[in-house]
Amino acid sequence: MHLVVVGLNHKTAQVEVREKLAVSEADLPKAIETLQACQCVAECCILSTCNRTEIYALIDSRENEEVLLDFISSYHGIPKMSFQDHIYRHRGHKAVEHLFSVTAGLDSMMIGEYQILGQVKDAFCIAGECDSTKTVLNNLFQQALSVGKRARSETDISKGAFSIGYAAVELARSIFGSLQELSILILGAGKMGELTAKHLISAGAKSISVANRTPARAEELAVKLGGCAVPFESFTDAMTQADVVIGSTGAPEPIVTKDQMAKIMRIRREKPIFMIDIAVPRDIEADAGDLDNVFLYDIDDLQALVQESVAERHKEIEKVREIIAEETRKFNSWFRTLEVVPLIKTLRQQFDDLREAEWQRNAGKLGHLSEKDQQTVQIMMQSLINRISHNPMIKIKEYASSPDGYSKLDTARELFGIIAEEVEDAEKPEQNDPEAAI
Amino acid sequence: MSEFLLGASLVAYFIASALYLANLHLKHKQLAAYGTVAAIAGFSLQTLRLILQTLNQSTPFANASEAIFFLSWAIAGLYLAILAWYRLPSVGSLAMPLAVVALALVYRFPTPAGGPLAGDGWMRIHVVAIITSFALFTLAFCCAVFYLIQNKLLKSKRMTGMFRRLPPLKTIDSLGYHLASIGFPLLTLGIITGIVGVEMARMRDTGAEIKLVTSAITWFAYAAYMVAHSSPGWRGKKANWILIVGALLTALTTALHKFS
Repeated sequence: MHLVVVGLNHKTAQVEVREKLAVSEADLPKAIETLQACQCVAECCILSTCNRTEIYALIDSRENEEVLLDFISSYHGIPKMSFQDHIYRHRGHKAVEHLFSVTAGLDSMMIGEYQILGQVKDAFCIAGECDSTKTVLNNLFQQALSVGKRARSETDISKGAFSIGYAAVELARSIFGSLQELSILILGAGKMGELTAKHLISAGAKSISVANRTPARAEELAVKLGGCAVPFESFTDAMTQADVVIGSTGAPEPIVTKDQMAKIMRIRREKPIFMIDIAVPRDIEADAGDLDNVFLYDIDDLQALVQESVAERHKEIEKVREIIAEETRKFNSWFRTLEVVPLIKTLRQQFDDLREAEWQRNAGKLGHLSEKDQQTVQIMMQSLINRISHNPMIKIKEYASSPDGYSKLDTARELFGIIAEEVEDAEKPEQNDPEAAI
Repeated sequence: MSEFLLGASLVAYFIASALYLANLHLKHKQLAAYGTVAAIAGFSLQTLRLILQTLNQSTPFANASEAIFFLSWAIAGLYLAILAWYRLPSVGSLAMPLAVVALALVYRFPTPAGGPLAGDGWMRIHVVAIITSFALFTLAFCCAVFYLIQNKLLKSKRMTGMFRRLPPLKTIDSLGYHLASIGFPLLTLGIITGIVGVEMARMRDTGAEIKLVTSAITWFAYAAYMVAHSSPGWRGKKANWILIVGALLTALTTALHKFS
């Protein structure tokens, strides 16, 4: 029984390689089916996103890891040579740790991002539907998802801005509190402006208006965002009403000067205004930001904020690693209970204890026997136990090397009334070397 | 018993202050919650003492130390009310230390010293109205401080650390305004009843003029704030500075006050 992950991600492979090895969600069931057809694969789950393709598998032995690479090669119809250098393999507790860092967002391009948690969940669900995850991977993935949630709730690994849109939302919250009542004005119908507005909308903003030199495009974007178009000529009037202004026109010169802004502020009776200037060249004169109650951020400011948040999140990595280490230990100790060696040890111990107890109980009654006879009785008892346990012991060892042996071992445990903790206890002295266990 | 309650609530407020201040700088989710627990504990102890004192004495707030005790009780109570309503634990990092200062001042005025305040109706209204308005102004002062810090951070485009723990600009601005707009009529009432009370009791002394002048200046400061808050050119930064000046004048008035 060997737990392994093979795969590649954005750190080891360029997108040209990654796209070749990606498995689309629709093709996943078929891929899993093919993989399951291999004799040596007991359980498997394929995680394929734009940043990674990984196969988590429980196979019979380390020697058969190559089967997974062969599968990748044959499934995509490309030679092993072409991707082998980009592949990483993690075995045993390293594989567990790897999956936990993936769900915690440490392995993501944008550290701490949320998307990966959903992607792992989806991959796990599909594998579940294909019946390719059983005791071990079910446990592993469920724990991995909870690690992802723990990392995000107990540390600040997912706090702060991930993109310019996020930064805009965060700033809007810091200025206005709730976004519910805010009215947003978009100048220009560019892609960036739309994206930023979408972030604000998903954070609760409801009233949207769009002004663009080409009215048709303004109309189009307004419909898309559920807002209304305003004539470009009168956008300064609209600015007297709006709380948030997003500038993203293609104008070569600033369309709002400081003087104009001062006039607008007087009409607004100095009501605070948040201006996001993501146009290059800029739409709003930088000096306008010096006015009281005007909070002007250009694209560089926002980018700097994103960078700052990234730096802040990096400070949280150590805390997340602690959580991962703790959870890996937890999984590991559970996984060890599936192992055969501790089971045999416990079983032997149990039989020996039984023999000893029986002897102690009846020794008094056998006092009249000579020393030699007493020894014979003891030898008889021992040999009886040996004979009874002989076949189960052989079979248990056999199960250990078969791919789905651990489920049979479960049955064995049940038959002999051994509960998981007992096995763990028997193994405690060796716990210092976790890799040896898995 | 009364001494014990006083000391215990001082300790509780001190712990609350430390936790709230730590919360501004450290990333630990529970700090603010623990701070609130300490603040509520301290407030309960103070309330208990207030009840006992009121039952024991025929005239509550009969002297300077009781009046200051009442001020710190009102600051803590108002802060907790704001917390329940607005969920802004960051305000506690300034409000609770101020409650600690007020409570510690109680020790500066040993119980009988400062002489009994005039027990008649006018003076009682005067004391309660003035102290309540001072508590409201203290919290408005906290709001103004946070407004100015947050405004500065937003203008300098720095978003790290403390930034995320401070209250939103607009919320804190309107909260400060609400507090001052309740405090202002109370201050007016307090000043009028004070003048009437002094006249009635014929207690006019040499300090009365200074008292009257400082009170009048304080009153004008808050009147200016009420206008400035919604005037173009004053709204925002300048208005909040007035709030801070007003609070300093309030403190000055209290310091000059002889409680006689």
